[in-house]
Amino acid sequence: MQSSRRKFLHKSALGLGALTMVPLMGACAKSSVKITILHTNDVHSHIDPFPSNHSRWANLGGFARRAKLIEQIRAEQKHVLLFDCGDIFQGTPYFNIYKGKLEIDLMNKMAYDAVALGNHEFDNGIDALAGNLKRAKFPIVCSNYDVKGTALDGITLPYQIFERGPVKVGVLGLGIELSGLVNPNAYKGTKYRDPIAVANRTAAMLKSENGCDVVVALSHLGYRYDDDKVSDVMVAQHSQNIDLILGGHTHTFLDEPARVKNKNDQEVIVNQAGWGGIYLGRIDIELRQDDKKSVALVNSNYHV
Amino acid sequence: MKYSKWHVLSVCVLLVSVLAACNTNSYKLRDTNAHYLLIDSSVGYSPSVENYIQPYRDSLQMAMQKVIGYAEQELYGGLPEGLLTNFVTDLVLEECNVVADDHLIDVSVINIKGLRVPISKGDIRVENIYQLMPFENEVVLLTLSRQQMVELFDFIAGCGGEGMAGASFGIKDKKAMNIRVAGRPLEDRNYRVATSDYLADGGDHFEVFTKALAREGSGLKIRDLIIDHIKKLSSQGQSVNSELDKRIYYAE
Repeated sequence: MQSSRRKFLHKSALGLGALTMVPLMGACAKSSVKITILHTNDVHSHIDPFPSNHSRWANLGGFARRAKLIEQIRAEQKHVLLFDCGDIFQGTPYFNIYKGKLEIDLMNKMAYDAVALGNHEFDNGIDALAGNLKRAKFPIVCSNYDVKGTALDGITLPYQIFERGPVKVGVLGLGIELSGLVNPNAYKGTKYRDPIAVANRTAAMLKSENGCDVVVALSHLGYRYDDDKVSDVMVAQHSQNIDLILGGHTHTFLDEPARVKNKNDQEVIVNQAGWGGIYLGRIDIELRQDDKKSVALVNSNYHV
Repeated sequence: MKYSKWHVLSVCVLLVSVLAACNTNSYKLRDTNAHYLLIDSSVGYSPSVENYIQPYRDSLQMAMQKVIGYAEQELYGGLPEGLLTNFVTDLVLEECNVVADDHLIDVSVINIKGLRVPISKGDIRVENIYQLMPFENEVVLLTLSRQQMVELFDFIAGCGGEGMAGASFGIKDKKAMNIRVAGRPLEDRNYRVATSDYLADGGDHFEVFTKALAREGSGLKIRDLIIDHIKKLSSQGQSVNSELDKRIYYAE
């Protein structure tokens, strides 16, 4: 009796253990998280599709269509982030007549999660820009413009952290040097800081102090240049702690994102989605818990 | 019992460890998959966004149809000078000098190819100026040395002419001769040139502009300058006109 009772208890404990472990281990083994990152850049006020007589992009693009596509993806995917990498403004009479109000209203409706600043955002001056951005329901991320004392003070953020399921995504923003591109009066008081230094500092802080699993840079520096002008590819090469650079400014259409080795010989994904809202960039990333850690823990206990 | 205790304990340890493992916030990027989703009519559209845009689209249409001036004659491009380029470069020079606070602008240069359609005789609508200047080019102000000015005029002479105001010269053997700025021969000083950001970046082979001693943005869009200038003329009871004044000519 004693022995069979002991056996029973033994078995039930094992059984309980096994029953409890299976779903937990299953959960742990499957603890990969998929995040869908959607991105646009250089939409340049192309509210409507390009006109039917356009030489290259006839009948393509348009906010109402993009909104529909984003709605669909959000319905299908659990974790979605929607970003824009700047030059929202300037390019059609919509901007000239309505001064940016419509673009911001529509991006609010599409529920953009974060946006970087492009040089054309300054076209009507920094005060007009601040007025437009105050209407935005999404954060404007710009890490390398020091806007202290300007109209943008308190409006742009150096970084933003998003939690999607168990994953923390840190987002920083990189703006292009405005001198020579924009009338100095239009960005008065805005100080440009070295994007590479700022990006590395911000990314390190996001990962080590804020516990971000992924760091995304929204950039308007431009994809790549022939000379030594700082670009997304250059930032990637000199970076640490950045996983993804989504860019703009150079209106670059790619067949696939570039995979650039960073300072630590790790891959950084550099992407851009053309311009004008012709394409919506979509990057699905899969994150898994540090396999070694969880495997080690499960194994060490299993043999007790 | 001894064994079961062991097992209960081990299960507890296991549970805690597994939970702890699941709770670690260390997620690593394992896989990425990128697409570029083409936005065409097959996507469909969001009715709420479309409805929001509609009234803006309607009133934009009305704004574009607004008559802002009247052209006395058709203004079209030509070489070595043209009515259209003379009209546009003259107004760019005039309007830039209105806003140039201290240093006056000597010369303006706008490329013929940048002006996409003629201004037809008759009513001028906002839409016509968008067709004339579909690009978002801005005026930039360059500082050029005397030698660079010679290089600029020689380059334009080599092209057989271009849109230019504030200066005059003859073309001989693809070189500029008898150069005058504001009616005077070139002096030993720097000059200020208003041009488009496109040309200032070396577009249309204007390489001399990329070597400018200084470059400033103006914040002025060429299209806006044209529209505002035509509106100003209308408000003063004047119509739009231009003439050929031999600012660039073939010298024999």
